[in-house]
Amino acid sequence: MIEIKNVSKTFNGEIKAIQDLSLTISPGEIVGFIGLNGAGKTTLIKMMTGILRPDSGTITINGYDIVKEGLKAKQIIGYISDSPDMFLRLTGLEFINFIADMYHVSDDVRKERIKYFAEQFNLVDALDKPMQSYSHGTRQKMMVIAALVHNPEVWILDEPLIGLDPKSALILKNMMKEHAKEGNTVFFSTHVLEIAEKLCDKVAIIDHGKIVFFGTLEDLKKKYHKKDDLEKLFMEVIQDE
Amino acid sequence: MNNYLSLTKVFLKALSMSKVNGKKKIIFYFFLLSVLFLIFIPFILFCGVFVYGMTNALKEVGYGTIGFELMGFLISIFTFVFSFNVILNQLYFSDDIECLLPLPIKPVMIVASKFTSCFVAENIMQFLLVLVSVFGYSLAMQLPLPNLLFSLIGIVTLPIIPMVYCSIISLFIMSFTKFIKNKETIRKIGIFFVLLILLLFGVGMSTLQQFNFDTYVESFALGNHKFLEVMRVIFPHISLFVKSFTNMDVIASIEYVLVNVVALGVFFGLAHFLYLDSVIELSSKDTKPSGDTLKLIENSHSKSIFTSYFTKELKILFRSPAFFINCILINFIWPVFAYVIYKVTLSDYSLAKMRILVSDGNVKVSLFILLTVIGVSILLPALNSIAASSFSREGKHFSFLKYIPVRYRIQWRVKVLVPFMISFIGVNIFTTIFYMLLNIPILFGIELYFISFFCILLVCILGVYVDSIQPKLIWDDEANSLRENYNTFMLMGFALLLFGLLCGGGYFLYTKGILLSNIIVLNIIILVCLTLFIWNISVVSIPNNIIEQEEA
Repeated sequence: MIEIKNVSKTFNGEIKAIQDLSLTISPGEIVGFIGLNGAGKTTLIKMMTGILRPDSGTITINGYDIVKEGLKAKQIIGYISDSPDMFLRLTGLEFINFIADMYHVSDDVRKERIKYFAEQFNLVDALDKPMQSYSHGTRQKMMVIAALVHNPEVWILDEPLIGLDPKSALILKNMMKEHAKEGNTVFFSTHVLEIAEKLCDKVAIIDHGKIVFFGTLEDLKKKYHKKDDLEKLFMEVIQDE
Repeated sequence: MNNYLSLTKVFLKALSMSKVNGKKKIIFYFFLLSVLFLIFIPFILFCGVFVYGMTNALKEVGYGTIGFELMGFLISIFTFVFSFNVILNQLYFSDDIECLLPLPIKPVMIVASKFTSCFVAENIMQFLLVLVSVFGYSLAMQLPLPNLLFSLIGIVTLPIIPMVYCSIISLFIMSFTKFIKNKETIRKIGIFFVLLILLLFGVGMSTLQQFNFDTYVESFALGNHKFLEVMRVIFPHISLFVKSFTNMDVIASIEYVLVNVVALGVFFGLAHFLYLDSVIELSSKDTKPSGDTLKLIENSHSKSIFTSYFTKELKILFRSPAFFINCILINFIWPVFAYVIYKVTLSDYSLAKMRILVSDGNVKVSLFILLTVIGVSILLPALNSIAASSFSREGKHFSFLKYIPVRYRIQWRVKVLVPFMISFIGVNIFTTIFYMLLNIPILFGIELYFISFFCILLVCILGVYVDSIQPKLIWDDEANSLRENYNTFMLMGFALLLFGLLCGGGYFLYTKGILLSNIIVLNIIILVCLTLFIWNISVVSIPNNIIEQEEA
């Protein structure tokens, strides 16, 4: 469960990136986070993962305050950042083992999970090569494995499907569904509204640092008395604001 | 032309440090920069005094230009050695190449812009050195002010020729290794080339059996100009530069400009024909056949966070050619430079003679050994830039430090341990051999290891602390996290200050009749106190600096 209460964030004392934002994502939910470029998506995600500190307000992950009990909160988060070009001098396997060490993953669990993910994403042959030699998509797959190797309860994913081939994207989407079905939380940002529409239990729309809509697609349709798809509804919500 | 200017502006921007945020931080950072500037002034002035002294001594025998020429050659050699890797990286391995090649810009424009940005970014120090050398020379020769006007072009453009040499060699290496498709292999060839230059430098200097500055003037008077004659052929612009402003010689000035224009013309001409073909073939694809990966997965074992983090840092330092050549290599080739200094300053003391003096308990030799160990132990961890780039090397993934469930105190301690370990091994492998060759008494040896330990630890903590204040996180090539990173200069400045305090102070106390054992104890007390002081500051400040570092 993710609870965001009255969170605000300003950069350089001038730019209000997030304004008094509150949001509760319950266990078992997949929430799609959508908004225009610069709306505040990545800033909020960075605050949820402990990269940035809110100026005011609180964020709790399964009851742990990300600022006050940062280590406990981070331990249960699986985070994919918006750029997969990380530690390119390591081989894929070295990278995942390193991340597994950071999250205290035991030998047996890591072997099983690395093998499972590598086979799912067709990466077995790539694991012993430096990540420098990977394509963008392969690096992104490696980020997915690294984020999930410790079997986190809460998934926070920033544009996780970018660069993935259709098969890998489908596998990840199915994993997200399975994870939520087990009572866990999945929160991900995307610009592909079709994915949000098909995959998410709820969508959160952010504009100028404020949540302008949070609910199911049905709620959104009811609110605007329309039967349009998410793309048209999204445009309407943004224009309204 | 517009493309050239726009590209150059962009490249220069990419090399600059990001803005410091927060009033307190800005004040502190400017204080550090001012201290740095003050520390480097004596070194820069020394070069001017050197040229002044040599010119004064040699002008009587008709060789007034020698001092300046010598400095010019040294600056050119320095530029050549240190620019080679930078130019090779910029022309062929920076991440922006793939974005630049599809643009409708002539490849030679890309080369020219990259060359210009490297030239501007790399030569601030050289510019100052040429300036003070011109002043030193003019004062000694009592040249009037108008002569200085003739020197302006030369002051700004002196390093062009050595940098053109680096560029042309890079073009040839890349063109004739086109069959090697893997970028990493070619980078390794670049490293090998730099090593070769350094080795030749070492071998060259070792032939100077009786080299001594005191007898230098005499040897010139006797007509021994071999070194100069060779250098004049390799760097013809230096002599033309001196001639042009000494005699306000318009012809020499034109010739100086022509030499530079021709050199640039040849370089750009070669780039026009060779660059595109050589850069387009490069790729990072690894062609090695894959091993049994499933077996490798089965062999995966967990490590403690500390060990795993430490191993990761080492792997990146050793595997990245830019980090390897700038941060690692120096720890194992510093004896070449030490040997050159020995040849220049102490060639009268043979090893056998020193061994006898040590066994006789000669205090002066023991003091010399002590101060050398202190000097190397302080300067090497600053020179290798590992500590002062520990956060900068994270680049745009600095946020990784913040979202993993690992305490900041563990992370910065690993970042101290990495440069400490590499520097300690680098220093003490060679000093141990040195101690064994000289039959140093065991107790004295232990004291030296102890002092070396604290010198290196202090500089490493200081380096990590300085880099945590304002790391250079925006770079598109690993080498750029080290280049133009003021933190590495700042640490060097502090190291020089510490070097002056401990070595200068130690020598001063010796001249005042203080016992060597007391000097050692005093040094240990100062080092332990300073280390504890910096450590205590770091414990609070570094985690705060990590938290405050919001955006890459």
